[in-house]
Amino acid sequence: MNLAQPLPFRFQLASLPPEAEKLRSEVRAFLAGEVQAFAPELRAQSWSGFNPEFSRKLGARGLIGLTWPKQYGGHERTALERFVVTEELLAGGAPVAAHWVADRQSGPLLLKFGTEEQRRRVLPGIARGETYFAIGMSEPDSGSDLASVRTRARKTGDGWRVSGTKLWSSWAHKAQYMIALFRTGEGADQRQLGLTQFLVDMSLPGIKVRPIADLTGHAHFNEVIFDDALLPHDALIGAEGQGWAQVTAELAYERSGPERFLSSMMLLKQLVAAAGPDPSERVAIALGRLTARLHALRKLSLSVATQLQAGANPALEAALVKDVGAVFEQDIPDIAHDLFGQEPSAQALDAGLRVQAQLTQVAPSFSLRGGTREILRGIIARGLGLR
Amino acid sequence: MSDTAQLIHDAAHRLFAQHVTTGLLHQCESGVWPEDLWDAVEEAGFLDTLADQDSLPAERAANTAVLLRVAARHLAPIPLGETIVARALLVARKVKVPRGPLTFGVLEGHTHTHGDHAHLEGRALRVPFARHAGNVVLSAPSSGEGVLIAVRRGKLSEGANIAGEPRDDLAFGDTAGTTIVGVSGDDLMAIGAALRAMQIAGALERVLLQTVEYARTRVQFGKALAAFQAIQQQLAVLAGHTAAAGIVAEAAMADIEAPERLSRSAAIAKVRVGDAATAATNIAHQVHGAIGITKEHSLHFATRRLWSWRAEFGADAFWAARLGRESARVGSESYWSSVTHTG
Repeated sequence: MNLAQPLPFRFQLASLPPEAEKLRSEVRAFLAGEVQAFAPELRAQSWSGFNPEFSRKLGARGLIGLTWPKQYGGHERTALERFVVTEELLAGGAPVAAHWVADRQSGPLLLKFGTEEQRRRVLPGIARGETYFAIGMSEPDSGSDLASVRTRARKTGDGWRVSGTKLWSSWAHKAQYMIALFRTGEGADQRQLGLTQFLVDMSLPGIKVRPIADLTGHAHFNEVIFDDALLPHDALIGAEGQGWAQVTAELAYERSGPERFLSSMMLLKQLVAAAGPDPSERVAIALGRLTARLHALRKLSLSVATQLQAGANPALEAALVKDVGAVFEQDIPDIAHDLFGQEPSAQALDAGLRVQAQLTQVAPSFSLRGGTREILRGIIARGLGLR
Repeated sequence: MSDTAQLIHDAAHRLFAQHVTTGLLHQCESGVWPEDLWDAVEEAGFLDTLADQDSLPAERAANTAVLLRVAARHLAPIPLGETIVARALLVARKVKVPRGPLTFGVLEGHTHTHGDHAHLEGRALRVPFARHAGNVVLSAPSSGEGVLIAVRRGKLSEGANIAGEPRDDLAFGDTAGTTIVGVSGDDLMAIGAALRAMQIAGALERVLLQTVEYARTRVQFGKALAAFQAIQQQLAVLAGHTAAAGIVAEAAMADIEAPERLSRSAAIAKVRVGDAATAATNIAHQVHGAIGITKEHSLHFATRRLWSWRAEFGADAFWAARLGRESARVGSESYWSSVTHTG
């Protein structure tokens, strides 16, 4: 065994620059005024809380499109400042769902691969907190196996004719746009090469959105049916046949941020409250373990943000953070149950139990969205040289 | 990594790869002191990475962290961290540094101090490598502030942890010592936790590399273990623990000379690396199968150390209880800002 070989992943201790810490104080002060009034169980929805009014206020404060060029409505700040804003919004329980996808991945994708016209048309609205995006990746027969998508875009004289169905598209019923992955090529060698990304205007005829209620009864994700919808020629993003490479880059934005370990933050705070100032040994140990895990994840995630800022592509590191983070987020509702054993309920007088009811039910999604646990561990295994 | 840290990293790998063989690890477990290894480490200047007053505290800490991480990858069977810390404490307080291995521990008993001079009585249990160390730095319970260095080590009863590393009990009766101010018994405990955390992080890297290599070469049902998804998923979990352990250990080591920060970062580190050690030893042994639990195979040199180290200088539960009480005192509203607080 060569013990001098480097590990296939790299995490370095990183610190936040003073300007990022200054921005943190500003965001905290803003949130104290905007979010404190929301009920704890609403704040527990974290980045599933859809609130256009809040998104517009955030946009007006210059807190969306933080790293983008000013010419597109951005603010030319660093990835580390974005890290701070993101973690403060999540830890504060801000309802960020409306602009979340657009800010996190659709905008950056268009900056990287979009045409000048697409950028000018779309990015300023995102940065103002007015333009929202849905993700069009999965399909009824393509969950994790993304390269098997079948929704077809056929080039015609008028534009692209699209037929097929996208599934699990969160907020597609409210978003103005979707970035969708369609099949444009057939044939044995075309499984990945026959895929292309499109900027879809959701108001076009032939696009039907059908909300799907989740197990709590809320409808945030959707089935989106394309029935011979006609997209203009300039809906194409990047290059025809490059959709797979582009979507892989998009997923890297989706996997590395603090939202991959802060989803249960509201419940963790409720646990601290329930522990009281003088907790039992058992409760103290559980809280201490969770606190140590939180610190570790935050340091790992900050290291990824630092690498992104330096222009690196830490895809393996992002997968590791998301995998470790999802386990942490999901453990919190179970630990709450184990420690206190109170019945969680939406009607409970105790806010902690209402938050627990919310998070107990949504926690299974944490290791599904953005790449399932199995897919991520497969990516990590490939990084380790196992496959 | 700075240039100096990189040099230390490369030199340490060469030195330990040359000296620390499985044969040596077996010998040391049966009571042999690795004289050649120790001399090489001393000659390389590795004992003064933290005592080096010419470099900045951040550089000293980073150099020491790199060295301990590499040494732990090789499972170097010497009190490297203990000696480095003890020497640094003495140099910083202008106390004469004795030659040879040093160690530190917790004194149960009492002390009488007259200026720099002290007399101590009592005992110190499970002191690492005490039989090889001429001098012992001890936390002094009665003085509150300050620790002591015992110039004689007292009566010694040999013991060992489950990895066969010397952990000896010392008895002191009116033993002469020197007082070192500016570092408390609690500080010493946190320093010990940070050292063990970094050693665990290094050993976990070894376990990850070794288990990945085994999975890639061992064939079952006509294909390498690495081809089985059940194995891939286990090793991905092991990688996650290794990553988490590495970063918290590094954060604690960065605070090694800053007791006011170390009490927290060492606690965080020892809790997280303890969890990681538990998960990693389970996974590594499961993937290795029966050969991994034989004396002949080298996996146990790492896993037995991990089982010992996670319990030394405060187990994860000990530090977790502290962290948890601190979080509870901070309260729900300020909990998040206590996490982001960098001071």
